[in-house]
Amino acid sequence: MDRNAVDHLSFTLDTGSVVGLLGPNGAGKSTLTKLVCGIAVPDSGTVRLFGRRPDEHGGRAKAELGVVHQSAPFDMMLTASDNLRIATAFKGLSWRAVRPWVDARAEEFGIAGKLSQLVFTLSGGERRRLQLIRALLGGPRLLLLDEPSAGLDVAGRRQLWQQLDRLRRERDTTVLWTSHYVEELERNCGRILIVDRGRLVESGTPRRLADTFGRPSAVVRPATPRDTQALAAVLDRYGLTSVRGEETVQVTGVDVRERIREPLDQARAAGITIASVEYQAASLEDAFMELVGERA
Amino acid sequence: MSTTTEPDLADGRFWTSAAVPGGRLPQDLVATLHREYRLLTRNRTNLLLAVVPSAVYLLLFATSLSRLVGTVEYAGRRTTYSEFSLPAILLSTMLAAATTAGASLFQERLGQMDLELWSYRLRRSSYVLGKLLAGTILVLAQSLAATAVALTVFTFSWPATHWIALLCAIVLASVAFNGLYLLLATRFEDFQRFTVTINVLAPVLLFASPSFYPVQQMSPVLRVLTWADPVTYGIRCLRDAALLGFSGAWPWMLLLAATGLLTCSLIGRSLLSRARHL
Repeated sequence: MDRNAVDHLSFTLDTGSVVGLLGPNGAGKSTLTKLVCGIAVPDSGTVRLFGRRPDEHGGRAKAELGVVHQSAPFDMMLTASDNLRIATAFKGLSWRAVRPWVDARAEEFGIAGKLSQLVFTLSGGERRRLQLIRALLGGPRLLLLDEPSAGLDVAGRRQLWQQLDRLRRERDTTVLWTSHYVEELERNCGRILIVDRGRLVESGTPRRLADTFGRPSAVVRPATPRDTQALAAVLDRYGLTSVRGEETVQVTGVDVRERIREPLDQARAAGITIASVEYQAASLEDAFMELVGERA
Repeated sequence: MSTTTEPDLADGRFWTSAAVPGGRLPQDLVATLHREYRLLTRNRTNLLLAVVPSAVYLLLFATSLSRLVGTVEYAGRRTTYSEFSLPAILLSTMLAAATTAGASLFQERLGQMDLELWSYRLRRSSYVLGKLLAGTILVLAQSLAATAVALTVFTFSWPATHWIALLCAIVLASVAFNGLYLLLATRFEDFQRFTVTINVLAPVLLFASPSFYPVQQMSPVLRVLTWADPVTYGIRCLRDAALLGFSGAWPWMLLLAATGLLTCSLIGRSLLSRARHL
């Protein structure tokens, strides 16, 4: 069955903002990246980059764009350095002038010794780092990152975050960041767009989305297994859905802290001993699951 | 930690003259040619594979056969074997170079590099033109190099007009055969099939044509095959240009020009169609 990869999706990016794009597989995230790059052309509607269509005037708007594609495309039989030189030529930059900057970034990303190697000999993480340097060439005003952390180790991800944070602070670079790592977007993005089946499901700050759609939980630990059973029965009477473990009962839902107070008082009054209650704040991941469901 | 000594990419000092509007060549075309140059010349394996067969034909095969055969009758006149076989050597060089160009295009598709390229400021016309131009230049350069080497090994007694006709024929054959191989590269999706086909194709096409022997000396089955073999027409064009001049070669020149036009337009369509469906 044919369906639109991106359907009635409308949003704007403020200068200097870092916006996360979150959605399950097949949600249309990569298609959206291609639309913004001008690689794919929409059947209806328009994409504007700095006020221009991406394919307008020989793609002039794309001169200020840096892209990290998910598939990490490279000329595999050329060296890392050659690949960067090619990108430099397409961006209209002088390689000789850019070289010190490239060397500094390569040093920073830990691939300084790899620039003379053929790309196909580099590991996935090294290619991803190289891809980031390539995307940052020329100091783009807009960065499109499609799963930039895929294949990166923890140190690599942190370097990426630092670089992007620096770019945003120093150059006011706008970033549209697609990732499967929810916590990465939660940590780095000021706004999140949640998409599913090509449509915008919800958008907002990570905190607002988590608070509005996430499900905070309370993990209650009664003193004995018998108390656990009795507590679950009390919670049932209050209509609170609980997940019962051997030693704990977990209650999830909006305003759980307030909603659980009375049943716990009741339980204590009935002689059930509560050893501890742990509250867990709602997370963006919870909100994402709530909004997208099992497709996430 | 201070980073003040690092160049600031946003300050404009890094823009080349090619980026300035009104430059002689558009920046995206220059960049495409720059990339193709690297792709076609930096891969030493491909280069070696392209040069070795031609060198073998030129320095070993043709020199030995030239001494053995002496003269050959072609188009009603006797000619030395070295003059007769030079077009075949040139065409083998063209096929080897076209293989490099085709392989480069296939690798671009395989590595999805086209996705990256279209993310740059790149016009369709520059992409297609750059690709065709770079491949043709490689084929042409290797053919001219082979001609230069042949000049040092053999003696040719052609008048200047025949040399000019041969030069024109080399240009037309370079466009046509580069086009045919690039077209082939756009038709394959499977790496193994492509590698086998493109590497087997050159010797098969070369030896199924009247390359190192007159068509009269070929077996009846092979003679039929020569009609379907594009290399036959390439060799006829080069050979007639060298031995008979423009008067004998013009129909083949027209045919190669038409083939070049057709293949180039088909490649352009195929590349752009793929770009639309990335």
